[in-house]
Amino acid sequence: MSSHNNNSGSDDQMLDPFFEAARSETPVPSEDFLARLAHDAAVVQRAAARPSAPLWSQALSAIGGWFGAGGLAAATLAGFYIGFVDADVTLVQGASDDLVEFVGVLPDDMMFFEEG
Amino acid sequence: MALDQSSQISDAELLARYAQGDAQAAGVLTARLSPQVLGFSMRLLGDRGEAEDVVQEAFLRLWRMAPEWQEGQAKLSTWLVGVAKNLCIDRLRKRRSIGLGEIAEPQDDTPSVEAQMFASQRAKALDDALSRLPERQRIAVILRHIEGMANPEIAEVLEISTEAVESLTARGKRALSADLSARKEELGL
Repeated sequence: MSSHNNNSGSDDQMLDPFFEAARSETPVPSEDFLARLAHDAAVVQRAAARPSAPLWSQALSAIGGWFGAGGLAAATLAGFYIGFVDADVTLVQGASDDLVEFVGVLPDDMMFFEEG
Repeated sequence: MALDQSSQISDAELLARYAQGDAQAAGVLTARLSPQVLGFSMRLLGDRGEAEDVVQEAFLRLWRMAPEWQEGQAKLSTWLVGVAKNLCIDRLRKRRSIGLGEIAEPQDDTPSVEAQMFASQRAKALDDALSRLPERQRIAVILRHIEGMANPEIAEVLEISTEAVESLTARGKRALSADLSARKEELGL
């Protein structure tokens, strides 16, 4: 252990002038280089300061803007319409194989039965 | 906010001010922190242009994460040196895959005064000897003995224990001492 410490001490003594020389040669950043760093900092700062779009606007752009929203609304309305119009004829498979019931929900609540 | 007025403000506080839109905080931070990161990167890469690119990238990452920086999570200088270390290692590994012949020689801006000439030659000899050390020993020795960082900070940069840092620096110094002892006379020692 003491041999290790002695070695370490003599290494330090031997290397001190070299480390001192290296420390005295620490590079000074040039004006041009500092300007590059400042430019980057300003660009990132400006980007961060730009107000972010409100939530509704982000959602709108996620579905393709006003055009996409119009298409989505039209498809929704069409789905509702088809759902209501086709509701008058619903096929129900009955318990008996030879009986198929067509249950219709017509405006006047009429029901049809067909024997197969 | 003038530069001298900022000298009492901590690095983390300056970064917080930058994140809040203070236009001058970045300038103070770069003036304060870039020399150390640049010196460290230059010693690892041996090329000023490449070292500047590394430092620029490290600072760019700092600006981007400024809003999320938590005061007390780490020293800003340690964080920057850690990022620069990883960027330098990436470049060194790419170089090895390209071939040693294409590595740029360290720049040598030797002043004419004799004493300064010796100092410069010693620094150059040390750089050469450092370049022959294993990567982690080299980083530990540079950070401890040239950049003056404390062992716990170096441990953070290298993601190892403080004891491992002590061991790395001791082994590094032993190898440097063996390497440089033959050149003592020639370097005025």
